[in-house]
Amino acid sequence: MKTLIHILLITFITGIVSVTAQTADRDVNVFPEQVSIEHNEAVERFSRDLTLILTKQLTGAEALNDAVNSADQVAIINQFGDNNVAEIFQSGFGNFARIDIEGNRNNAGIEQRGDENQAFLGIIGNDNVISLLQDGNNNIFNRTFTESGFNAGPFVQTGNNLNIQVTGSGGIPMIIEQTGQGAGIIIRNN
Amino acid sequence: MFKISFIFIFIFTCNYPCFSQSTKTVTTSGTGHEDLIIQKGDQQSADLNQEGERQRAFIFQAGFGQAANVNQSGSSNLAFIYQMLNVKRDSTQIARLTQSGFNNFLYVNQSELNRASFSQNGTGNTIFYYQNSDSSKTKSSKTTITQKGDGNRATVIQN
Repeated sequence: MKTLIHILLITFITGIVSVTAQTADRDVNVFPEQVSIEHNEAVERFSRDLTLILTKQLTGAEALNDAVNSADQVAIINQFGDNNVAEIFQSGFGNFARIDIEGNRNNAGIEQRGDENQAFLGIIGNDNVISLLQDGNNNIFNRTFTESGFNAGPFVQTGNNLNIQVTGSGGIPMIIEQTGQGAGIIIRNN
Repeated sequence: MFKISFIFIFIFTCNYPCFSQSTKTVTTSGTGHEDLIIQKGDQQSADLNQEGERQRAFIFQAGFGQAANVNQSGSSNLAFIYQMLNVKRDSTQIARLTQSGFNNFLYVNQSELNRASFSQNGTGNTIFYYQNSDSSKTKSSKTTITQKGDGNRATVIQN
């Protein structure tokens, strides 16, 4: 009986101490310390590249967000699947068109007539057909893709201060027709 | 054809505003339902939910601050949303639609200052979106279409 009372007493005192300690620690700031480890060169390079990629992606996302917010008319089509058709026709000033497709044998086209227009095409898949027509000044077309097997229809731009950027991987035949002054073309094929 | 003609006659003969700040909600389930909502005036809202096959939803709105929400599930459904220009001032219009199933069709007509969001899940679905803005008014329209499935078609025309 005496042993049982001792056990209960110890348990009770331990509980009080624990509750008091939790209450006391509630407002205490915690400053975690990092262990200083010297990484090898490969890890440092990977970390550096990852930071660069994330920074680029964040910058790109912010730029895209700004473009969407500042555009007068915005049309965005997202398609997931095969044998789909997506098309955007815009006329006027400061339009934004974007088509993102993930699938095979899809057909996507953007036609913009006017100035200060922006068009984006993002493609993941095979045997997709894409085309662009921009008629006006200060227009921008940006296309990203992965995988191969595209039948890239003509990207046609007519006007001044034009810009086309194509980024992706795989050998893709493409036709670019630009008519005007100050036309810039950037192709990155990894 | 007679029904569509009647709708236009009703809208154009109704003196502005016929109704104001009203919300109309319709929910149906089954086969072959046809629901029609006509609203003219400010701050109109139409909510339409249909389940089943061969459903048809028609929403006509004229005024300022209109909103149309359509949810359809099943197959061979049709939704028709027509939000008209306001000749006196900028028209703010919102249209949202979700369709799940196959062989569904959506037609939407909006003017300036709109927000449109459409989602279709299934195969053989079609979205046709048309926007015609008055060039003298403020333009700020954002239209987003998401289609998941095969054999779908999305067409956007913005003038």
